[in-house]
Amino acid sequence: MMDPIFNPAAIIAWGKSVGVATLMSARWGWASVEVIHFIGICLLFGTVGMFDLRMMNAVRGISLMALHRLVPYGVLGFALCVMTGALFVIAAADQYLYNPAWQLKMLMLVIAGVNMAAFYLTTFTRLAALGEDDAPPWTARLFAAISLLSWIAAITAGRVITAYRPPGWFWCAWCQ
Amino acid sequence: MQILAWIEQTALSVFVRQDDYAYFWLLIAHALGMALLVGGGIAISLRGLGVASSARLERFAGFIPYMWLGAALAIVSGLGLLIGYPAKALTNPIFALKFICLIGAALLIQRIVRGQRPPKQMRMMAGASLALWLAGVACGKLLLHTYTILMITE
Repeated sequence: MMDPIFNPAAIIAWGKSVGVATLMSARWGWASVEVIHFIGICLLFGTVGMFDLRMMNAVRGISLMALHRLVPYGVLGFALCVMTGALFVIAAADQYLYNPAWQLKMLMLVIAGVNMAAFYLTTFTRLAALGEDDAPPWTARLFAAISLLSWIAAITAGRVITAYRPPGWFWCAWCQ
Repeated sequence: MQILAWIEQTALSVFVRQDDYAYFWLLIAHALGMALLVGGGIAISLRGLGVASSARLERFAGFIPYMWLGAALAIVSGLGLLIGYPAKALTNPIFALKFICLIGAALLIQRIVRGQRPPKQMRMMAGASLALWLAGVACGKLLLHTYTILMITE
């Protein structure tokens, strides 16, 4: 079978040429990158999750705009996850690209990203006037619920990645 | 060591190891529980360090029940994982270090959300709890890479 989009062998070879393979196969390389990846997840899930819980009105007593000051640390966490996640994929491209759990995780990230973009474009500025104990409008609650669920699903799918050891092209819907 | 060998042979331990799904459900629950607990802990530590200072610190107590939910998920699933491979964890000193870090961090968070501390003391407590959460996560992840005995029997 041919993959018209990705060339895992070329990705792995490139990783060898730029030192990713050396880093990831070092004694504590893969383990350290895993540690940073999960710390990134905690930063993201903790800060954005708190914002989502407040926006769902599951927690009261804090103004959304005050709580939003924590979100840049969630962005930092996401950046850590993207960088460390890229190292995993570059080091073992075939084990991720054709892995249904990884594919599902990427889909969840797309859903979370589209949801976030729609939230900031349509609803965020309208929340500025809300006080500490005000209940957010239902559109905001819906955005928050989708956000929370998509991150939970992304963590779940990510944890299952190691359950699959794709034998070549088995989980490749786009291959010919 | 005998008791670890006995645990390994219980029906529950064999089930955790041999069932196609049990181990992964436990891993999923453990990851979600830890993300909820540690994520909340890191966020409250950041607030203690002065981030988002317009949000009143005592009001973060509203998030503590969600952190307890995470802790409950992590503890129940962690017990399941422990029953599956008791010797793997209990012969690794990093397993003990993980709990020292996480319990220390949790105790600090309980004090931090009460507020009413001099700013300098608050920052010291928040910095310590942040460091302990990160160290606890590092120890947890390293358990996979540092064990010397996987099983006593088999």
